[in-house]
Amino acid sequence: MGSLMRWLRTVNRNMALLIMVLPGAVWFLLFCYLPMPGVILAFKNYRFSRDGFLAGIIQSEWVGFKNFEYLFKTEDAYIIVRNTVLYNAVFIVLGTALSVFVAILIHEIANKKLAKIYQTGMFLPHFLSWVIVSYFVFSFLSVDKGVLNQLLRYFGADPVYWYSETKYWPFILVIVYLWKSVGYGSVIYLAAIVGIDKSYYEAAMIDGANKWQQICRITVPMIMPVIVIMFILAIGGIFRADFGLFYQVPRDTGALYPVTNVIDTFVYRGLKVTGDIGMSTAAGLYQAVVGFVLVITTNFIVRKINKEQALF
Amino acid sequence: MNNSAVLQHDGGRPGRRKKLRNIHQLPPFWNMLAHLAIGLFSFSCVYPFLFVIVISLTDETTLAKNGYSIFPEKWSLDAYAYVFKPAISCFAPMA
Repeated sequence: MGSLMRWLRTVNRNMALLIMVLPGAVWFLLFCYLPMPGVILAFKNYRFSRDGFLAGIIQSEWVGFKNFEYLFKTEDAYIIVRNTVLYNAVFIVLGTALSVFVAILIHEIANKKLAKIYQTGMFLPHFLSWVIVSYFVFSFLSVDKGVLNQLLRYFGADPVYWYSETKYWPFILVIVYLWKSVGYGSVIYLAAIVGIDKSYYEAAMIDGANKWQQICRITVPMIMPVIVIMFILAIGGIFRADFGLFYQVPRDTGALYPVTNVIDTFVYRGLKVTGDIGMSTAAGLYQAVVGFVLVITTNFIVRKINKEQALF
Repeated sequence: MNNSAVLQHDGGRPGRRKKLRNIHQLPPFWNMLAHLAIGLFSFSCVYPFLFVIVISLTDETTLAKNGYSIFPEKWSLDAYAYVFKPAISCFAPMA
């Protein structure tokens, strides 16, 4: 009885914080934990039943790992996994580097009011949906009306059929992703930089360090824990590609599939054709399990290097 | 952020007032470069948005002739009229 009273008193003391956590916790419960038993769909051949969704799950037959074979035995399997992992690796490395770079620059700019204006401008792309961004890209890359082809024609070169040539798209997709994510990502690193104790810089200046040395030796090492945590979290998502980026921006052009097809778009197109729910659940489960294993492994490696910077 | 600015002392010579520099900040040249870099990136984040708004306000024939441009020859509200027309005709029977 006494421990119950103590527990109630702790809850009462932290009531404000608990109420702040409540919406996020309810969202997680409803959308992440409640649907989790649906994972069994990955091992069943789902058939629509007249008695409703749950009856359909119960009445469908078990097929073991046959749904996973669709992912691995298809001739595109190597291409989609290669695309997903390589694109995500480039996104993680370049995205983190650029976000940190931009955060440091924003922090060091002398005019603070202008710095806030720049930051607000950089924020904007994050809040746009990929459909809108795909039309931005179209206004630049359209064959007859686009800005890039107008520039090429002005300088006498031939216009390029951007939506048919595959060799430009790795660069286009990386640039568009960085354009959308660097502004928002830099906020986290900026918050970490602002939290660094000013006396470190004063001591360094007394010892004769110039600005570049201060940035390299104080700022970057002090925000390294934040960088490592964001890196570990990003590695966990390396098998999950941003669907909007790879489906909307190339405008679902068939000629570009070898460079823009990733696991998510492959499953989506397969689902459109066959309507097989079990197959897409299997793909999602595969991505989640691989991501989980990667997060545990990466955290283990980081803990071996520096115990305090690990996530858990 | 940099409220307690440390200023260089100019020696106190009468009639010679050098501009005091905050030594916590970047050197002026690098400050200008940083402004340029971040300003350009920030502008590139906002520009497509403005560009698409201007495109939506461009006249149809100008689009076919000259392509997408930030300074179109002819402005027109035709696109918005086209988008909102079914909505207006939806409300007509209620009028």
